Amino acid sequence: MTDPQSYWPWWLGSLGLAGVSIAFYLVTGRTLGVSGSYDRVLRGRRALEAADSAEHLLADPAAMEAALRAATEEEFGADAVAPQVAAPARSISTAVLVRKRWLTWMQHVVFLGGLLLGGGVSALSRGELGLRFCLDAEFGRYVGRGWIAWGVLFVGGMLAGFGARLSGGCTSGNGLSGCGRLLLPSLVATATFFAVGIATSLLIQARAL
Amino acid sequence: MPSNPKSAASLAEEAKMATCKHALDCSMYSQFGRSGLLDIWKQKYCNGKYEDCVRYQLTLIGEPVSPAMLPNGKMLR
Repeated sequence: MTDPQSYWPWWLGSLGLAGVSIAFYLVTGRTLGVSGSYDRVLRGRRALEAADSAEHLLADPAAMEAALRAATEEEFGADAVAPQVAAPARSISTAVLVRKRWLTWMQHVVFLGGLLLGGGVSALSRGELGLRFCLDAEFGRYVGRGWIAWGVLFVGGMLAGFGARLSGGCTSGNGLSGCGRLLLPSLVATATFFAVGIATSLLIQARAL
Repeated sequence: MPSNPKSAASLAEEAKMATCKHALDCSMYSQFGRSGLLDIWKQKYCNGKYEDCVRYQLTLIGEPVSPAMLPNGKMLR
């Protein structure tokens, strides 16, 4: 088990988290959230496909104009459409749109890569960098060993991911970004994370004793 | 008689005033802003019940939104 005394000082972690949260917002225009970034990376391809599906309209202002007129008449009736129409619809370059979405996708990839790199640097600074496939002895005592332990980890990870998406963010999105802005849903979600975490920990310890 | 196209700056200013806070980044809002014909969309959704806008709802849950999707969820054809 890693000696807690070997961790970086708490204030350095606080400064790092605050700095990363602010920098992330300044670069991406969005608040930081690890599970949200992971989600966006996985959905990136679908977003690009959505841009491609509109390619012919975006590239042709006349086609866009006609499509908008038809859709407006269909939704609101012919009377709702003004007789004099107007300026041509704006043509948005599909290439620009795809490039913008690709850049957004890359921002999240770089962010997630930075998390791995940061963890690696931290471990390296303590001389603990390396791949280990054996679980901690304490984990084995409390939860189980062998395939049971890996199964518990897998199911736990699935449940954590499901819960994070259900609540609109994980401990970083709700805990750092949401609580920092005093958003009630984030305060409730973060309180729930910690309450369930503490309760689970106490239950496991009680079972192991 | 065609009306004068609005400038990008005036469209951006208009988007900032919209009830829907996603208007500034919404590609469809900028299309609506180009023509008086399409004001009815803005009245109903962007400056009205923007919570009913499918584009808004999809953005809230992080789903990709096609540039050809209308506020009612239908796709331009």
